[in-house]
Amino acid sequence: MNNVKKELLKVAGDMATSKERVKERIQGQRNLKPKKPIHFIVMSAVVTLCIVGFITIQLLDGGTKQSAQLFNHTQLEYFEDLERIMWATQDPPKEFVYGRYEQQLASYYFAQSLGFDSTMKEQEAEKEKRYNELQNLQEDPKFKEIFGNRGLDSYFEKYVEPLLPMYVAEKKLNGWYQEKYPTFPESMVHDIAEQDAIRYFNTHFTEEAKSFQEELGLKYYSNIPNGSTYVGTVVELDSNAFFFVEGAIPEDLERLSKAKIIEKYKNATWYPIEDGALVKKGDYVEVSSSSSMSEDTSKVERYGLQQSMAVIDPTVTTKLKLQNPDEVAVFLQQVNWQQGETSIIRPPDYSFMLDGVRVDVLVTHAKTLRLHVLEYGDVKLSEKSSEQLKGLLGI
Amino acid sequence: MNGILEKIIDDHAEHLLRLAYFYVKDRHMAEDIVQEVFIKFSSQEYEERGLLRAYLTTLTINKSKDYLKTWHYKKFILQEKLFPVRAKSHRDALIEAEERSQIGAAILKLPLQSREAILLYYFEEMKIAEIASVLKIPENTVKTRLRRAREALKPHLKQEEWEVLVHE
Repeated sequence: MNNVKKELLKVAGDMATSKERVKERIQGQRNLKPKKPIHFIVMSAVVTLCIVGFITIQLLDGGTKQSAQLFNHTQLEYFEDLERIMWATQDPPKEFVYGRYEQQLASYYFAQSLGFDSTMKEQEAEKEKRYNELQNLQEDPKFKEIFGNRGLDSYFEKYVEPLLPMYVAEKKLNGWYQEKYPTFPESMVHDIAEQDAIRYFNTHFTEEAKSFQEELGLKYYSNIPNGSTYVGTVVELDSNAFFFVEGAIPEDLERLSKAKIIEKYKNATWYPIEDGALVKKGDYVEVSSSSSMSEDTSKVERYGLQQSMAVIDPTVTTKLKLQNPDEVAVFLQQVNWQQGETSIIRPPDYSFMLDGVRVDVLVTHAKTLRLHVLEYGDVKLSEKSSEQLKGLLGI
Repeated sequence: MNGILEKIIDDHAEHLLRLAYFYVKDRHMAEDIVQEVFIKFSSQEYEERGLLRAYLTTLTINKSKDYLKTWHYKKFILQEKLFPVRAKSHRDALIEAEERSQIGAAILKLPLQSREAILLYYFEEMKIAEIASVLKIPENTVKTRLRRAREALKPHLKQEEWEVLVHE
């Protein structure tokens, strides 16, 4: 092995825990019972709400073709400049430039459709703010290069002024979403607003976007990211959000407080409830999410962006009624428990009560058993011990 | 999970997790990427001809680069610049990386094109022609990227570390 590879291995650190998590998630997904999908009426509701706004835009365009109005190369140049500054490269990838431009357009048209327009006064205020920002930055070498010989005023007039209605509308859209999700961190609220905007845009302007991308020589590009799948239980509901704990099962709610459930499973996230989605406390759900964040890294609770959510069969954990509790108790006293904090990221395959204590049983990939007891610890049984316990439990 | 898939995960997951981590520099995201790679792999009819590792590696590289193109990632980078407090945990992770290996941490700080050339050449131990094939670029471009990457690393490394890099 070469020395550089050795150094890279050191810097990545141990990946054994990550491997186990990946394995358990894949196994969890494959063990799922058939889904009962929630019939989202999210987009249809949004679309219905938006039709009036959309028609208004069409009428205001005075019959001009929408595709001709949507994209233009001057605006694209501006977003190319922004990407160039952000990535500190002379030649930012076209899809990044396009993606940023499309997101701005999407937010604008989505905001318009919800009735968020801008007055001249608001545009003037935005103009002043943006001009001052650029004025403060004009000595920065990157900005200097972009303004070039034409100078700030000319640049601002050509590129920024035409976008002022978009910026104002986007600001109003974000404000509206902030009121809708008051407990979420601001940047996550913006993510949610942008995702809804892109969904709206994709519903209405796919053809226009596709033809502009072709003009730019891009393959079809989508701003909707693929999410990873998590399975768990809805532990709490807020007016516009649900609190999801990965790996938790509905029965946990009967015996454990919210804090104890979080302590047991660790991965706990607030997700927005999309308009029209039917979700209630105790639902066992599968969530697809592309990102989550925590404002305070010391807290387990996170806030996430979901692409989809579906209620699934909650009977994934088989509850066992012990026929021979004394024998099982003796067995559990003899095994080598690892005390301390552990977490479970998928629902247990079995669980049973013993003297008022719930013992969760997970079947590993090697068909051995892992036992977990809240506030005590867990133990991974050998093949031989696993077979012995299977016999005692009748599984 | 069937036994074959489990065996494949056992054999390859840690390597792929490291590779994804070197691209996205986030362990949590690397797990998601590798999870998607195995799910994609298990839904396809792969015919084993002794090229499984290369196949999974290519899937991981593509998935990682897809993630780096997403709007979310770009905003994450922007937020790091705008909200340094929020980026604290990310920085802590990078400091930990530096403590583990100066060379490794310096490689992680390289821009994607340079980092990728180093990763494929040293970590994946691919030949120049193989890298060119995977990245669909000319061999000379690969050589140029490697040379630039080594040059970019020079100021971050001590003399003996630099020598290690150029002589391998």
